[in-house]
Amino acid sequence: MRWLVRARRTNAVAACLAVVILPASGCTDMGRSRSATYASGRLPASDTNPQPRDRITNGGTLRWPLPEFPSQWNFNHVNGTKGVVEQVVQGALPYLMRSDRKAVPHPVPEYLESAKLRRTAHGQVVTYRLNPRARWSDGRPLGYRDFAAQVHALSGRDPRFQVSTVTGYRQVKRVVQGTGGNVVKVTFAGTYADWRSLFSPLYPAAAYSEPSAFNTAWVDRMPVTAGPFRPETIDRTAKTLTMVRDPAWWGPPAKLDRIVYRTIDPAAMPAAFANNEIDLMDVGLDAGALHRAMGVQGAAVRRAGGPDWRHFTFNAAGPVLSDARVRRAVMLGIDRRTIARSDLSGLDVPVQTLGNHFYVNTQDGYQDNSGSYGRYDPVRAGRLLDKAGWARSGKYRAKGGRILALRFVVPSGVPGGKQEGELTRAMLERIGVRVDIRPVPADDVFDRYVTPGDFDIVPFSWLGTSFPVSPMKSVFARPHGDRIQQNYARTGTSAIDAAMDRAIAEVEPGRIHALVNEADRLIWRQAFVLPLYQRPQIVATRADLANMGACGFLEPAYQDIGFTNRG
Amino acid sequence: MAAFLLRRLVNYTALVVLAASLAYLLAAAALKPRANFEDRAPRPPEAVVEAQLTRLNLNDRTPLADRYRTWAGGVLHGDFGRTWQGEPVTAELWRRLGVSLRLLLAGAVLGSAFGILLGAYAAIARGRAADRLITVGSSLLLAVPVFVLAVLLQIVAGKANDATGLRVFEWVGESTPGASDGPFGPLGGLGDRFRHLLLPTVTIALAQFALYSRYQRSMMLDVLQADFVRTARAKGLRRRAALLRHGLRTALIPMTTYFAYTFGLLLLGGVFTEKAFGRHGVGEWLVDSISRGDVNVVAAVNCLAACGVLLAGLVSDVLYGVLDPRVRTGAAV
Repeated sequence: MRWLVRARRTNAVAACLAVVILPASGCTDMGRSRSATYASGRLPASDTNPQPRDRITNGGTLRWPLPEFPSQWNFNHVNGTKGVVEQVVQGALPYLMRSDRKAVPHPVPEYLESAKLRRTAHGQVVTYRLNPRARWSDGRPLGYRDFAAQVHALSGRDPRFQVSTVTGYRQVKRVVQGTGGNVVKVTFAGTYADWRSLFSPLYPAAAYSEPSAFNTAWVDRMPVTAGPFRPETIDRTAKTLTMVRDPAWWGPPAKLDRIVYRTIDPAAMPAAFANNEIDLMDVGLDAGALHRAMGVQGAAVRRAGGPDWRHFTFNAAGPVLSDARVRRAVMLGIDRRTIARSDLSGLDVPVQTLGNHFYVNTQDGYQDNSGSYGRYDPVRAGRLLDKAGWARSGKYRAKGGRILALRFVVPSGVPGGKQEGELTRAMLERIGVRVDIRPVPADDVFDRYVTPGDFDIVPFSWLGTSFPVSPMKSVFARPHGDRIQQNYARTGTSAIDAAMDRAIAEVEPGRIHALVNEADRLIWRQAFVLPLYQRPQIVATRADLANMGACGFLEPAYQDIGFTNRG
Repeated sequence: MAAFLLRRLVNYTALVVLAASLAYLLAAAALKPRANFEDRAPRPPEAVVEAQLTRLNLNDRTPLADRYRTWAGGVLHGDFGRTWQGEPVTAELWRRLGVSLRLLLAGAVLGSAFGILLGAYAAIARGRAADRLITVGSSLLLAVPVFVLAVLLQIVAGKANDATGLRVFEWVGESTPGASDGPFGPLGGLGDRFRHLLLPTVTIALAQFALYSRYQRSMMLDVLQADFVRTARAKGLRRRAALLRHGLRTALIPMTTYFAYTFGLLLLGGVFTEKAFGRHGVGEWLVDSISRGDVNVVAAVNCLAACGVLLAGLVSDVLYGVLDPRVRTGAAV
């Protein structure tokens, strides 16, 4: 189901259960008896049953399902940049920074004592002071060599390293050893706002010094680790991975004895969870699976705002929507709340619309910038269309003999998109716009329709990150001819580009938020991407599983995950 | 007989080569492994994607003929290339074939045995209550897709687990990781494997049973009317002996062929059973690889399928040759 979500991952993507394949929303209604739980009308930023360590049993096995079994465990290799890889290596490799529930990165004390940024005339210098006790499993301390090797490998300067991205590392000019073995100074050419996303995870120098090691040494094994867990067995027949508590870990010891990752098709997870063969499960937006999980004894359902968001992209290069006034009118004619309510029905989550193209509701820096564009206002929409020359003639509007009709592309066989199309059709009909729903084979949505521009409106989700600005640039930057990157709307302005560049070059978090929101207001005005809602993250777990669940942006400390009622 | 088999073998080899080549060409022309990289944001560097695709012989910018030559050259040495994750296809193919066979064998044998027996019985008891019961049961089973059947059985098994408080039924994978470390040692591991096999075996057996009992019933009905059964009875054989020795045996001959062929289909069509029970066999691999655009895997599985089907053909030829002398005479070939 590639169509539904455009994969979007950078080095420090949060969300402990962000499975890349997200099923469409369910359409059964289970009644809303428990809606009152969310008195504030908002989803929490995370819901992980947080418990202090002394309340957690020492020992136990956590059985964790994965939707696919990776073979490349080098996260920065082009084949390794996956959510499932991250779910595993977060417990075994150094993450210098980890996001909190609002997506603010903080140093992880077991690895990093402090990181200080200093602006220079031509860029910035970050001084990392590492925890002197931090050691790789081969006995070497974490240090300068690891940083230098990682920067070299991921800079893109040596094409033999098959890297998934060079973002950030490309800007690094120099890595030098500071005073003391545990101090590393990284000099950037220019400013780089998302520097906190770098070196998370950090791989040992031995893995990154040679292209051959980078490309193959981490296939089907993790030779060196430095975390609360270490790999015990990788079973390639059963597609199972067992991680055990690492006695060499210098931080607070892992509460769990082991974590067993098993590969199970998402469709088979509800039954496996109900039969107590796995301890947690990403429900996605599947009301049926949720219903089943809620009926399981001793289970709890955790709900939080996820990093991903649902939206409509408008094709601004199309014959009708090239006029910004028409795009605005269409936006005003769509009641986003109705669509969100329909998509999220049966999931027992509060319905909240999203008013930002970069941050989601629970994220630090979020601000609703939709202003008058995000409001449902069919009267004003009608006036705008009148002004644009589309006059009513009968049921629909027309101009120069052409009826105002929009192609709404949905992947066939998937209820979510179809439903959104039907609702949009009904709503836009009121302002005299005809919507032709075009069901197309799910695999062809992007290849045959969206990328070539053969559509007017298409619904899908973007996967969010803690560092949204640089990745979202490829979505909102003005296209150069056919090089649209991921700007499927095929429009933009130099003002938006400049605003995003300013945000990327800023390093002070408060200022970044202000600049990003400035860019966001400009994007709202251009009206080519209509955000609908932040996708909730719904995770079913054993009720006594602590410090793990629907994490939102929170990146959990794996040593604190455990059960409160066992042993 | 030997010459006959040799002729067949040569024919089959030509067919396998043709089928495998066509499968590769179709997969290579239709699937788009490049999309796996283009979907990502930030998109991997262009040069890396090119190099990666070329290294794996998956680059759609290389002419199809060149890609085919590279692939065919590897296959001649028993190397089916690499998955788009860079893993050798051949090793994974054997691993997954083992998983599939362990999953399917018991169910397929049990299902077909019961199907044949009950189908034959239904034919003999034609029109009576037992016949109706078997007919209704198998028709019902035929109407239920395997994945629905699997989920229904899982629900029932889960309820049984809850009701008894014993964990008789577990079904994710071939075994629970670490099962052999329990108090019963390797014996416990074996028991655990058996427990994991229960539900999938029942699922497959029921689906197979439904099919076989229908076939066997009609086959048996034909035979029951046949002259030689009447002759056998006239000769003085009892009804039971005539039906078993002459009727059932004759009716079984086409079924052996049928079994050989359907087992191949079962192997490839095992995707639903495999997914429902968390096994990672060939069927799941094929379907997932098609959606991922993993050309070399699709080609390898298709090649395996071609070999399997033709092997089944060869086996049934041999059986026919043994059972039916007419096949062996030159004119009939």
